[in-house]
Amino acid sequence: MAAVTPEQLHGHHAPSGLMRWLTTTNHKDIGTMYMVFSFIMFLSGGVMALTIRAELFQPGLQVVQPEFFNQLTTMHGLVMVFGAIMPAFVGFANWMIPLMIGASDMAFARMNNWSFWLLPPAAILLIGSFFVPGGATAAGWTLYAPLSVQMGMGMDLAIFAIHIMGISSIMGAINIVVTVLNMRAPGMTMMKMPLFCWTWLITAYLLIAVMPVLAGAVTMVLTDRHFGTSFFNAAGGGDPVMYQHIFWFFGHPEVYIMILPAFGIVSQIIPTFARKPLFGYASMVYATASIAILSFAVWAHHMFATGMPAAGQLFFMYATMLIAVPTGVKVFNWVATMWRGALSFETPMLWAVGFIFVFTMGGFTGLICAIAPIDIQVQDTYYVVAHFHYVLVAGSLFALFAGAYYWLPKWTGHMPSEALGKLHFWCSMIFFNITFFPMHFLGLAGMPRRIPDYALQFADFNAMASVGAFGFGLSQLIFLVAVVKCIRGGERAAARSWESAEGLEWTVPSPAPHHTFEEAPVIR
Amino acid sequence: MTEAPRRAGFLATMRAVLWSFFGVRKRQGYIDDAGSLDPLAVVVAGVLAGAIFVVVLVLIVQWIVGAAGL
Repeated sequence: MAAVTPEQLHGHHAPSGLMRWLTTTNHKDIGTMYMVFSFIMFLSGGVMALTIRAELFQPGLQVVQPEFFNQLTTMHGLVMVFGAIMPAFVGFANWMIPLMIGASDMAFARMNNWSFWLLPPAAILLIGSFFVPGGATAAGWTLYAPLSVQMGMGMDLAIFAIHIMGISSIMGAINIVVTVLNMRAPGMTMMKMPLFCWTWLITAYLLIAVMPVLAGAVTMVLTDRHFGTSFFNAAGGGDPVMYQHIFWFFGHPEVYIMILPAFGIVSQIIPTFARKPLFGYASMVYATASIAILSFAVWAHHMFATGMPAAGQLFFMYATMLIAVPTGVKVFNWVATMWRGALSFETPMLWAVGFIFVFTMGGFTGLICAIAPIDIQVQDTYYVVAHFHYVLVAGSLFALFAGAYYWLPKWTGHMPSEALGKLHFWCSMIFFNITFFPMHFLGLAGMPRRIPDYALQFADFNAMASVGAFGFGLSQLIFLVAVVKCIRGGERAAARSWESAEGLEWTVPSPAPHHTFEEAPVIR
Repeated sequence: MTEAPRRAGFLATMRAVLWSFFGVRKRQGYIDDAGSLDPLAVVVAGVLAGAIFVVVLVLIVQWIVGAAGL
């Protein structure tokens, strides 16, 4: 995705080679680095997932030892959440927000560089923890106490990695808030901003609100481990359930941090390929704000099985179910945008429509999990695994692919291959469902998650899921080929690369020059 | 053209925020909001409405729990 060649830098006295990337303050360079980083982490987390699925292909223990299996499930979650999905969205924000609002760069360009370069050391700490005595943390990605208080030094490395990635996220979020609020071109009022900018603005507020909460939680785990405190140690007067409350006060808004920018990307793509303006733009803004506010009042729905008074269960159950209202508004708005539109199904649109289809299924299983008596049955089963993969893979990841195919012409100057893009979509869509749909049945039948072995009656659906997982994993290499091919050549992309694309980003040439909007455009 | 935009009052701000909880807004209402709302007031109203939402939900739950004798 190196859209800008060193020749184009001529006259800027910018360093070239590795130093260009180390010292860059350019939002496009930094956006590219975020995306390359997140793709590497995506492949790393993917390898962990495939090892998990290889072990679960048959009952019994074949491939890995149980201790290592637990490390894999934990690290798969941490790597995908903090290393792949979140940085990928920040990469999109870096590349696209200044282009969309007519700004010349992000507000704090040097802090932007630092935000990114904190991530590789964090990733090295996290991945490197596999190789320390005792291996990586195996407490689950939620790092629940007391397990996390008992782990080996891999846990400490994970805690430091989370601290560093949290600092990176907070700085990135501050940068996005200040850029959106202060650097819009003349005439670009808040309510004229593309929806992607709105969803990221609200996401950035969520990040600033909850990343310190996570940092606090893991710091308390750290002091419990090494400095004699007893926040989560019942023997010392602490309470392990308090860890769960603090973690999920971060964890639930985190779910929306990972999905709101996806809503933004899909809301950019659907109007382009439906050749109609987004239906209910204002409703979308209001619904996003509403989801963000409500996300702070639902955290204990992750803890129904932990034990809670009936009043508490009812409160969190009702509050959770009410989130379906603004989310439903969004889905209806996307469908209404397509209604009677002149639809065409180029690769980005396929991914966006696929997103709506599968994400909605994940949303509905979320509603089922929200019902406390049902949740107590399916807690910690594969039903929950199926639910959150429908939301995070079919939601966040599919939207990321949609956005990548949509903006690749702007990033590289070449149109992505439709044949490869469509092959990638159909393989991913089919294999995704082969992998995760059977998990609903497994969960309802009682198969627990995070266990390397299982009873014989679960064998067939597990074999199916493992075959699907390898198909899905290998399908992602098609994306790699498509992107590399697009960078190296292909059909030249016009400034407005898609026929009906609207927005300031399509007014600059493709590939976008190293510096854009040095003179702010005026929006009528 | 020189006329300063009218500032929305407390009730108008609350109304916009409450619509946002539902996630839907009439086009004319949105146009009025865009012209008159003060962002700071919207944040204050949003937090206030969030608190009211929680209190109302707690009251409903208390009522149900009381009625069921739990």
